[in-house]
Amino acid sequence: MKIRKYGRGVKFLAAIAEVALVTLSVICIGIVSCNAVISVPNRTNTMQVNYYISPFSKTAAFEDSDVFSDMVYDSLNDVIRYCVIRGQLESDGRFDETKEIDIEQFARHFEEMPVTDTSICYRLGDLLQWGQTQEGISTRTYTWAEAQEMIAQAREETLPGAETNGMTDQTEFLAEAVADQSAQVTEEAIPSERVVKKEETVAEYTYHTYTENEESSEDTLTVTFSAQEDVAESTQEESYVEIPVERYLPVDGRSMLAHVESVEELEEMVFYLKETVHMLEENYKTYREYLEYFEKTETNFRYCVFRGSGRNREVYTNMEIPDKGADMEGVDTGFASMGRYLCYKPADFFYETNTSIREEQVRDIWNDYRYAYPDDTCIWIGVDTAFVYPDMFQEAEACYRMASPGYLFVLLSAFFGIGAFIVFGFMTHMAGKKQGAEGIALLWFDRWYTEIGGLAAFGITGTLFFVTGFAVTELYWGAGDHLRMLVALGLGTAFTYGMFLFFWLSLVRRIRAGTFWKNFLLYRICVRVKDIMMAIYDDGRNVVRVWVPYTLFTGANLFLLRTKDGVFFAVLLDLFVGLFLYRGSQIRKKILKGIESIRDGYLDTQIDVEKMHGDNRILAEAVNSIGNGIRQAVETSVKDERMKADLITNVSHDIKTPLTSIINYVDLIKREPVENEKIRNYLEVLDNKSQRLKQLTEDLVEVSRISSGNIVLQCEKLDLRELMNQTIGEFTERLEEKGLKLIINMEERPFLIYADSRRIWRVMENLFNNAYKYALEGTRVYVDLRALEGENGPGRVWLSIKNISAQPLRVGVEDLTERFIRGDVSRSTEGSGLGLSIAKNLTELQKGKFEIISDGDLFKVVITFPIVGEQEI
Amino acid sequence: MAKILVCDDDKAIVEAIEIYLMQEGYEVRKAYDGVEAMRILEQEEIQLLIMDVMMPRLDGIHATLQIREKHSIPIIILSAKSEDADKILGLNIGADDYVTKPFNPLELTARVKSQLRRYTKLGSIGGTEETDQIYRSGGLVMNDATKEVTVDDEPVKLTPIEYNILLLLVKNQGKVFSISQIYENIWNEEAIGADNTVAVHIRHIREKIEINPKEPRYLKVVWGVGYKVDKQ
Repeated sequence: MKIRKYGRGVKFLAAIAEVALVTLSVICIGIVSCNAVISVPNRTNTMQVNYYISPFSKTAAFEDSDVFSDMVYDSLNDVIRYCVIRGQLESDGRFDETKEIDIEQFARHFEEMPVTDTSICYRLGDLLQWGQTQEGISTRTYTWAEAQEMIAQAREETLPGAETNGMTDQTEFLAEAVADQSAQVTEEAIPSERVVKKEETVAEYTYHTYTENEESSEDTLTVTFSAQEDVAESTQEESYVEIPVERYLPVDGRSMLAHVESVEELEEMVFYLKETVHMLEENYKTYREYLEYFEKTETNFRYCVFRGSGRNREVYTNMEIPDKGADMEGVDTGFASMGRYLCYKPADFFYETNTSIREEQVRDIWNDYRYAYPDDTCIWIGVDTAFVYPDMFQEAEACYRMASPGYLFVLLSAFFGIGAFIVFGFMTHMAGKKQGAEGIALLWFDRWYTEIGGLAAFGITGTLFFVTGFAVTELYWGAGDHLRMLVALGLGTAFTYGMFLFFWLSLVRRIRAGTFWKNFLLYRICVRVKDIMMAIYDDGRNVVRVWVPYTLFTGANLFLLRTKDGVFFAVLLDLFVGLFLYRGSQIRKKILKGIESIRDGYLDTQIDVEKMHGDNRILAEAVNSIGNGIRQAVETSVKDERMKADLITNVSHDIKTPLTSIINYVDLIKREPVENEKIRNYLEVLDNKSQRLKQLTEDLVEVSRISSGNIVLQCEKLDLRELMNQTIGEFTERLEEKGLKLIINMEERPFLIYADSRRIWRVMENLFNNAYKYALEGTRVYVDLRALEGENGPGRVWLSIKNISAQPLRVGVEDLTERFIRGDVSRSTEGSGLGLSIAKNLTELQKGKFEIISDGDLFKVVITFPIVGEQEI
Repeated sequence: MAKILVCDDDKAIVEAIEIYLMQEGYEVRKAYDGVEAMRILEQEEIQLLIMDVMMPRLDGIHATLQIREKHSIPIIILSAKSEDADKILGLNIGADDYVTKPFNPLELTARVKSQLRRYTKLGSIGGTEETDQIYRSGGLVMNDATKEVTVDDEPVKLTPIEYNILLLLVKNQGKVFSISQIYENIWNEEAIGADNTVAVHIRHIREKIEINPKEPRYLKVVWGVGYKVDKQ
C-alpha cells in the first residue's frame, strides 16, 4: 500500500487542530455544566445555593423542572425545621425568654422516656445568654471525692429546714466562688497546677462549711462503691469531674448540684446542659435568620403548619388563616388553587401534591423532626407560579429561562470530539512517516530510554491533569466563577492534551520504528552485559572458555542441589545450559554443511558467522576464507583463459587482413604470364606458405576457443557409423591419391551417441587429415568401430584409426596433442600441428575420451563415446 | 554490365577485388568506409555491394542495417571474423552472403555472379516455363523433363546416379536422408554392409554444384545423420 506522506507543516497544523478540537470539546462540556447550575441566594441571603439542570431533561416550564422541585423540597425542609424551632423558642406565637427548658428532655428529644427522674429546668433566656458568652459554659475540674462532697453539701443546704437561709448563703457563696474561680482560670495556664490549687480552695470551703456532714458522705461513698472492685475504686478516686461554673441557676434557684444525687448523674446533667445550650444557640441563630424570610408576606412561597387540634392548635403560616385554621377544608382549597402545592397530613396518611416530590421524600424529612410535632400535624406548602414577588423562586425562574439549552453544547462537544478523533487517527497513522524519506523518522524525544520517556509522560501529563482538575474544581465549586473556570479548563485541557498527544505519537513512532523494546534501559543493559560476556568468551583462551564455565556450572549445580528449592533452579540452569550446548552443536552442523558445500564445488558458499562465538566463529571464518580463496583462484584462471582466447582471436583477425592481400596478390601474379621458371617456383612457395599461414591462424582461433570453453555445443542424437561412412566418403579419394588404402571394420548396427554434429565432424576431419598428411605412402589405414559392453547399461562405442607414420615419432604421445607442438619437429609438410589438439579438446567437450597410442611407427587414435539408447534424451 | 560497390578500409584488398571483378567484366566503384559507401549508393545505381565489417566511421553491420531500410540489392559481407556468431549476425541483419578473409578469389567471383543472377533474374523466372517437372531450391533448378540441372543459370553436368540422388533430395526438400535410405531409393535394393558409395557420390555432386564444397549452400551434410537439400 502506498502511503502518502505529509510534510512537517501539515503535521504541525494537524497537531494544533487536534488540540484545539479536544479543548473545544471539553470547553463545551464545561459550558454545559456551568449552564446546568442555577445559583440563587438562600433564604437568609447569606450564601448561594446551587441547583442542577440535567442537559437533556430541560422542560418548557420552570415549575415542572427538577430545579423547582428541589427548591420546593428544600423549602419544605426549612418550613418543618422552622416550625420546630418556633415551638422551642416561642409561647403563643411569640418569642418567650422566660420559657422553661428541661435540659434532659431537650437534649434527649429523640428518646421517648427520660432516663432519670431528675428534672432541671432553666429559663430559655438564661440558656441562650449562657451560650452566647465568650467561653460558653466554663467548667472546673475536681476530683471524684471532692465532687461527691460538693454534691452532698449542696443537697444539705437545700434541705427543707435550711431552705430560706441556705438559699441566700449558697447564692452568696457561689457568687464569691465564681469570682474566685474565674480569676484563677484566667491566671493559671497549666491545668495540673490549677487542679492542685482548686483542691486547696475547695478543701477550705469544706472545712468551713460542711464539717458536720463528713460522716454521712463517707457512708454514701462506701455504700455506692462497696460492690465495686478495687481497680474501679482506684480509677474513680484518681479520675476527675468537670463541674460547670454556674453562671445561671435553674428555675427553682437551687444549684445544679442540689438536683443530682450522685457524681455520675451530675456528669450526665452537665452533658445535657452543654448540649442544650449548644443546640439552642444554633436554633436561635436559625430562628433569627428564618424569621425574616418566613414571616414576609410578599413572597411567592406560602406555607401553613398546624400543630395539634382544637383550641390548642398552633398555626404557623405566612398566610391569613382565620380562627386558628378551624376551616381546614378552606385551607386545603386555598393551597390547591395555587400553581404548585403540597399537602401532608401524616396522621391521616394523606399526601397530595402537583409537584414531582414523592411522599417518601417528605416522610424522610418528617421522620427527622416528628419528635417535635404532635401526631395530628398538617403541613401545606404552595408556590405562586406567577412569581410576582422578588424572591429566590423568581430569580431561579429568571435564571432558568436564561439558561441556554444544554443539549446544543452536548451536540457541539460530540461534534468536536468526533473531529478530534478523526484527526487523532490521521496523526497516529502518519506518525513517523516523513515526507521524502524512507523508514520512520524519530524525534529527539523518541530516542530517550523508554522507561524515562514513560516516566516523563506520566509525570508531566499527570501533573497537568491534576493541576487542571484542582483549579477547575476550585473555581467551579469554590469561587463559582464560571468564566475563569472555563478559561482554566481550556488552558488546562490544551496543555494536558497537547502533552498527551506528544507522548502518544512518540509511543506510536517508537513501536513503528521497533525501538520501543530496544530503547528500554533495562534491555540495553542486558544486551551490554551479554556482549561483554561474549567478548570475554571470544577473547579468552581455552582455559577461560572451558574451565571457567565448567567450574561455574558444576559449582552452581552442587550449590543449588543442597536445598529442595534449589533443585528447581538447578533444573532450570541445566535446561538453559543444555539449550546452549544444543545451539553450539547446531552451529557446528552449519559449518560442516558449509564445508561440504564447498567440497561439492559450490564455491560461493558463505557461512553466516554473525551469531557465532569462540572457536566456532574462528572455524567458520576460516572455512569462508578458504572458500573465497578457491573461488578467486578459479575465477582468475577462467578469466585468464578467456583473455588469452580473446587475445588470440583478436590478433588472428589482425593477421588475416594483410594475409588476405598477400594471398590475393600472389594469386594475381600467378595469373600473369611469368616466363622465368625460378620466379614461378618462388611463387609456388609463397602460395604454399601463405595458405599454411591462413590455416594456422584459423586453427589457432579455434583451439583457443575450444580450450577456454568458449563455444556453445548444439548436441543431438546421431549415429557414429553413419558419420564414419560420410567421412570416409569425403576422404576416400584423397587417400587413394596418396596410395593409402582404407581397411574398414565396422559392426553392422547403429552406434548412437549424443554429440554436436558439426563438432564431431571436425574431429573426424582432423583425424583423417592427419592420416592423409603423415601416413607413409602405400600403406593401409585401419578404421575400426565397435561397441564396448559396459558392466551395466549400454556401455561405450569404441573407434580407432591406425596408420603407419611416414616419419619416426620422436615426441611423446602427450606432446602430440599439446598446442603448438607437432608430432615431429623436423617435418616440413603442411599442417599447423593443432589438428590433434582440436580433435582431443572437442571430443572431451562432448563427453568422449581421446587417446593416442604410438608403438614404433604405428600411430593409433582411440575415441570412445557413451552409447545412448534409442529412447534416451 | 552490373555496377558493383566494393567497400573495405584496406586499399590493397579493394584493388585486388577490383581487378578480379573487372576481369569478369563488372564495373567497380570503390569506398573505404561505411559512410562513403552510403554516399555512393545514394548517387549511383549499384547492383551489388561487397563490404567489410571492421571499418572506420561506420562499420559494416550498421551500414548494412541502414542500407536495408532503402535498398534490396545483394550485400556480400567480407570479414576476417570467422566465428559462427559473426556469420549468423551478418546474415540475420540482412546480408545475403558472408565470405571470410582470407578469401579465395574464384569463390568470391562465383558468389558475386550467383547473387547477381538471382537479383537480376528475380521475377522473370516466373510461371511460364514452370511445369510439374521443374524442381527448384534457391538458385538450383532441376528440369526432370530435359534432365537439365542449372545453378544460378549455369548448366551443371551430373552423372545419372548423381542426378537421381540430387533429384531425390530436391524433391523432398528439408527431409534428411541417411546413406542407406538414399541407396535403397536409387539402386532399389537393400543396403548391405558399410557402403560409402553414396557418400562419395554426394561429395562429387557438391563439388559440381557448390561454389565452396566445404560450406555447401544447397546439398548439406548433417554429420552422423544423413544429407538434405534445404527449402529456399
